[in-house]
Amino acid sequence: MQQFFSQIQNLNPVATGYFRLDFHWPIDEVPRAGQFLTIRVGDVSSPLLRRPFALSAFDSSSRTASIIFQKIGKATELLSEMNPGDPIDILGPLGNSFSQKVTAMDAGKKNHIVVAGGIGTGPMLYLADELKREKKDPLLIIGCRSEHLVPYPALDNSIRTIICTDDGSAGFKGNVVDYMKSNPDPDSGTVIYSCGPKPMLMGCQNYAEETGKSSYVSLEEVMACGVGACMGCTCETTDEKKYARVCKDGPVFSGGEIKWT
Amino acid sequence: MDLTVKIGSIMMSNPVGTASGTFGFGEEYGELIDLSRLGAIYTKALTPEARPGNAVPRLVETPSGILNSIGLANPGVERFLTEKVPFLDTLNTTVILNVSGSTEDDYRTVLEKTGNLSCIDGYEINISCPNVKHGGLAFGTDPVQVETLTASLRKMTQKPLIVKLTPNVTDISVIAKAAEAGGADAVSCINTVRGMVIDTRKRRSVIPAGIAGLSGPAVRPVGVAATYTVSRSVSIPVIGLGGIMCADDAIQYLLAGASAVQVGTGLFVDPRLPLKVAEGIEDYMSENGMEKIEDFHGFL
Ligand SMILES: Cc1cc2nc3c(=O)[nH]c(=O)nc-3n(C[C@H](O)[C@H](O)[C@H](O)COP(=O)(O)OP(=O)(O)OC[C@H]3O[C@@H](n4cnc5c(N)ncnc54)[C@H](O)[C@@H]3O)c2cc1C
Ligand SMILES: Cc1cc2nc3c(=O)[nH]c(=O)nc-3n(C[C@H](O)[C@H](O)[C@H](O)COP(=O)(O)O)c2cc1C
Ligand code: FES
Repeated sequence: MQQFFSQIQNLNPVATGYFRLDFHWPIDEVPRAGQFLTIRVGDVSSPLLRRPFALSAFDSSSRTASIIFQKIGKATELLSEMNPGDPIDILGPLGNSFSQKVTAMDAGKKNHIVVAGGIGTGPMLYLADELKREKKDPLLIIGCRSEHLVPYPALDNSIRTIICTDDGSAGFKGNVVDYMKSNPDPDSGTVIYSCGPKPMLMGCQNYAEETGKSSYVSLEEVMACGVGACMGCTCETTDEKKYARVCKDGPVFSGGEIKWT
Repeated sequence: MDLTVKIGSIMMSNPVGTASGTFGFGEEYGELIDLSRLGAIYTKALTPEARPGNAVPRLVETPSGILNSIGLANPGVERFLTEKVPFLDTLNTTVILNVSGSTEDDYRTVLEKTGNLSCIDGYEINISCPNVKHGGLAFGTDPVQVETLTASLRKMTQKPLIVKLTPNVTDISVIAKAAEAGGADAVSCINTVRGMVIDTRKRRSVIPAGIAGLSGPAVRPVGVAATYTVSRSVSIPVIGLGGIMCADDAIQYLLAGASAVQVGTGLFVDPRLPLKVAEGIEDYMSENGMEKIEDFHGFL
């Protein structure tokens, strides 16, 4: 973890309201899938807090890191208006990664399903890429409300990808859990990874439990420090400590650790 | 030039510390900044029992501020001893333990169990947290209780006692005087300001607990005014905080009468801020021919 200034290399839209931001990664520590960084947008006191974004890709040869973000409020609007060459203030890489969290047994399994919903897409593209490089042939399932929200330019053709849309405008009509249920995977050893809205994560967790599969989730919570100091970003867990910090103990948890209701 | 500050019997190497609740127990930021350059670390509040804290979301951003309802989440004194003390023992920085509780006995228990620790240089008594149902703010708004509690803790320790005041009272100087009468070595002001944000779509408070604590640049004028008022009513040192985002903000506090300052919310924006603030204070002193921190006082 370090705080550093970087330069924007590219900033391009990848779907309606979604952007991909590429920037130079000047530090030695290589960010892994699941990890995130916080960006200070502007030099002003509004928006005040740094904003967290997951790494969506990392190219070690060119030392380029990427995030995919959705323009949703003040900070992301300002970010979307920045230009190549602009400096950005980054703190990262933060949090744990899938590779750190997933047990050796699960990592060694044959089938891996990577499920992404909405702004949860970024880290899952990176995870699918990591699994591909480990020759694990992941299946990537992306859920969006409608076709115009599918981040086509950020997708890798060499990864098996299923698109699901709520309105049926592209790919499978229905949500990602509907897809998994209607195309059942017979292997109870399959590992399911998910990141997206909480109801989607809960759906993936329930589906994994019902079918005896392993499940890992990446959570989101409003963050202040991002480094585990303020206790602002906790989630409720099933163990005796009751609360875990999403920024430091997560954002990746095994599905069974989380108290879902 | 001399940046040292004396609070009770301890000497801090410079006036800039990190505010309680924003810096954990020091470890989390250790990778990012050189902790030995901090004037002091004021830890997260410690209570006798572990507290899970309040329901999420606990944070929401407001115009130039944040509203938090952490609910004093902390590991409790037993886990503090085993999990946090070994790290604090390695530090070469003043460590002030922030203590909180629902009853006088709670505060006494924490002091009793930590009294022998050489890594704790002093205590900041948090009688001003707006985010807990019992104790907390209730203590901090009643001068009789403040004096009684301070006097009771005074008998237990030689280490400096700093009483942390709430701005959520009609006259903060009354509470500051009560702390002084009880034997406090210093007071810090301010803790967070009561605030609320309502989600108009869901028609309920964004933070489940309802009212929460506002911090950040939005509260700085409140903190500066409180520091100004309190420093005129007591003769013990005042530690000023609330919304410090740059050296100039800290200098306002020093000119208002503070002997030391703390950076809280500003750390979330820039982890290096306390070091930058200390450097900025030093530059200001050399530009203005000041020799020591007391030279800031007496202008207003
Ligand atoms: C670990 C993590 C990874 C994330 N990864 C991505 C990503 O890859 N791509 C992406 O588009 N978004 C991601 N987000 C969400 C992103 O941080 C928010 O969309 C962003 O903060 C919104 O800021 P804003 O000022 O534009 O919106 P605002 O108008 O301030 O807020 C809109 C919503 O964003 C969320 N939000 C606001 N402030 C914060 C904060 N300090 N921390 C967390 N959430 C906040 C809240 O839910 C809020 O309701 C991630 C969040 C977390 C916690
Ligand atoms: C997330 C958070 C947690 C806090 N927790 C504590 C605490 O445990 N004890 C305490 O005395 N003050 C606590 N505070 C108050 C701060 O120490 C400080 O008084 C207040 O935030 C004003 O300073 P600032 O604007 O620089 O943050 C907390 C503040 C924040 C933002
Ligand atoms: S954001 Fe501060 S502990 Fe997670």
